[in-house]
Amino acid sequence: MSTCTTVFAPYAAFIPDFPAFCAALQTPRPCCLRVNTLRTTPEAVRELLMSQGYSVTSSPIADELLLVHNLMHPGRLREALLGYYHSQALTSALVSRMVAPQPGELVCDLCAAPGSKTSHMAQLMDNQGIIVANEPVHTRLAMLEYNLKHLGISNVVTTRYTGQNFPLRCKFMRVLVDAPCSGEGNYRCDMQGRVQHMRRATGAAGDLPRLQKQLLIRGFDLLAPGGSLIYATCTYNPAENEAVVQELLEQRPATIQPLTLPVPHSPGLLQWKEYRYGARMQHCWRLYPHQTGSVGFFVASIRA
Amino acid sequence: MLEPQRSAVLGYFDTRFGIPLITFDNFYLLLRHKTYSLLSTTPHVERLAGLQVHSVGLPVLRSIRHHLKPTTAALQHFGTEARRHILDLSETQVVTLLREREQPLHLAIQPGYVILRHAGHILGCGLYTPGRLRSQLPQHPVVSF
Repeated sequence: MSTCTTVFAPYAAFIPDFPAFCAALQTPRPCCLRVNTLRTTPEAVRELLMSQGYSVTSSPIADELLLVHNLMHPGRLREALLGYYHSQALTSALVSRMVAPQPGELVCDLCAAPGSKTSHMAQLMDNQGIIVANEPVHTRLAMLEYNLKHLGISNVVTTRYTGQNFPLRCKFMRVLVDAPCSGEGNYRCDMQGRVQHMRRATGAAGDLPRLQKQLLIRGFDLLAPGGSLIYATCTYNPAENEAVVQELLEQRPATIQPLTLPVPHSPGLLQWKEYRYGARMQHCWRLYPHQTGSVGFFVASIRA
Repeated sequence: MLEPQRSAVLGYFDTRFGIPLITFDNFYLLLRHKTYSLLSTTPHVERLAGLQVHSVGLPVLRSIRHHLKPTTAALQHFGTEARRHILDLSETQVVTLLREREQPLHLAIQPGYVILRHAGHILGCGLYTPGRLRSQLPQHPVVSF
């Protein structure tokens, strides 16, 4: 039986306070709701939920994020039917905030399904400008389009290219590469310490870094001069994170930018096993559950 | 889509619900596979011309045989501007409608699509025929009201 300690043992050397990390995977988390500000306000949703007996607090990170401590099935409330909120991990919502899209801009979300970050960016853009949301898998594309429609998004066009072959003729001010990954950041442990939600066989993980490198390089090539890109995964494996960014730095004239949101995090790694990464890799962020109370993520901000 | 076809299509919302045409001034209207969608106007739109697009913007109307059907997404988004053919439902009626998908109802209104509203919140689209109200809301696992 896989336990938290055994599954993440290879990372114990770089995850700060590893026992606290393992403990956090067993600790229940509040449900994070992103209020759809295209349709209502955080105050209105907070009052509606509190009137139904839910314990609601605002996230200190962003006004539109609410933490609900005793809500198990957020999709089953009337407010979900109304499109007043979207259930989304706190750290996932942070990624859209790091992209920082502005109303009127032209933005590309290269791996968009199921659309949480796409719809969040549309919300941050006040439905102005254009987001090209790309997803090659038909079933996931349907999920993306359902979520966009449900949330009243009117500034998104969807495309169905393989991300690494997305046409280069259109350039974007901002690109998000939220790459397919092994999803270790979503792992949770039951009370016996057994790991839940393991998504992929370890055999498949070997192909992911190759795909991630191709996606990141294509995302960079889609940037207009002076444009910015966010590379994100919800995994801890340095082969899917720092090594991917390092490949970009070696292939293209890219620069890693510091991130400035007030969120507890750890810096990107400068070394993993026999591999060494550039000094600016420390500007990448590693978000761990025991630091954020949410899903694990890796984020890099890159400028052309 | 250019005038006068644009006004003819979007005029449905004015005729049926009293949602003025000016509401849609900042949108392009596009037709794809019998679905009319609204896309926020943008100077970037011509730069997308080379892309093979799968869907565009917010679907607002579907062309069904010889009539137009508004989407729930459209009514949730623009329904606050509506002045007529709005049905205020009780909690019991909403729960029944979501579960049974239809219920007997006698109203002195013109048959056709209606905006379903509960406690001031717009739920979406319904279809009223004499003596019966049918839900046009997407299937949704709502259990708590």
